[in-house]
Amino acid sequence: MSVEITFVEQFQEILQNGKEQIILLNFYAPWAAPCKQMNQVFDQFAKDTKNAVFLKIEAEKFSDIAESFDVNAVPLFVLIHGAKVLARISGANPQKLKAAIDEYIQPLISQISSTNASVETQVNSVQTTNTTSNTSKAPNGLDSELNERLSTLTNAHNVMLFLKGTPSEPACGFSRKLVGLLREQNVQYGFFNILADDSVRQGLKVFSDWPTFPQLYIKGEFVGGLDIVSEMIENGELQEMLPN
Amino acid sequence: MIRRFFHTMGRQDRIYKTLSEALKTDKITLYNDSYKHSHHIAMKGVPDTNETHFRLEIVSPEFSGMSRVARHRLVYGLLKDEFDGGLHALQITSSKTPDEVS
Repeated sequence: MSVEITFVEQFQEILQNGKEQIILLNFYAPWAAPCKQMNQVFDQFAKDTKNAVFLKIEAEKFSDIAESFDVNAVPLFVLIHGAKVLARISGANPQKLKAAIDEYIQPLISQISSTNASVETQVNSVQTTNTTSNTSKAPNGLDSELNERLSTLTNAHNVMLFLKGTPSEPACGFSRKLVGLLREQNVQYGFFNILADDSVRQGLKVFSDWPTFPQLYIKGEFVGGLDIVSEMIENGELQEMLPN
Repeated sequence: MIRRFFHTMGRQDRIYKTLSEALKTDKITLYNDSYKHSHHIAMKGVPDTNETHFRLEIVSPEFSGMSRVARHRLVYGLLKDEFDGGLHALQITSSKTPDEVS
């Protein structure tokens, strides 16, 4: 079945919970006739394909998500697995879409373990947080609650970018450059706008032992800022680090 | 006298002084890129935008055996007071040992 994305957190949660699965994204616009046709095709393919997640995303409504996948026209279909973009199919072309599903999804299904949780469970699952006040300190000197929150945030996605602003509107040149580099490398990532939350902004400096932004995490491990990531891309190290 | 001089010293000079005194260095090149960033949203409300963003190239034998992240952390740690006092960004475009340069 295909799932319609209705809020950003839902999308990020599906990506987080579906790290082992293949996910097919359908970026569409409700006013576009080719999208209406392809939505029906997409729904049919979703019914016929097991162990893959099919997501419909209204491109203009979720411009940040669309921007992070470099959506310039609709319909656009993006096939992802972990943090890697496997294929991009632009336009109303059912044959091309079917070919991509056959090429990437079927072979990968045999390699990955199918999860018991259905898409609905992933969408509706709520992370429970401890509401009791906790003033104890973590070893790094941060408040335990904040430390736990940062740990959760840095693990919220296979690849997690903490930047000033958002991918569609970076608020500094370094963040803009890093967003561009990740896009060039076809890296799918989660992001957090540190300008929107000062406790995260200040806390992450201590948590990462790194005083500047942007900061990139892969599989919960701090990788570095713009300079280090640039160098890693040049040396081919970043692609090696990315989850399959 | 020295103390007064230190206080009138600009941030660029202080960074250079701190790094060259704390580390054995073969080369330190420091560029002031603040003018490129003064108009950004994140700089809104910052009183002095003349010495907020720098770019560094540094060669030191003390980086030997250290990862990239560790090298950068070493430099950032030495400049903690500057970051606390208004330094927004220090791009370390190159942090190498003399062997890596040759």
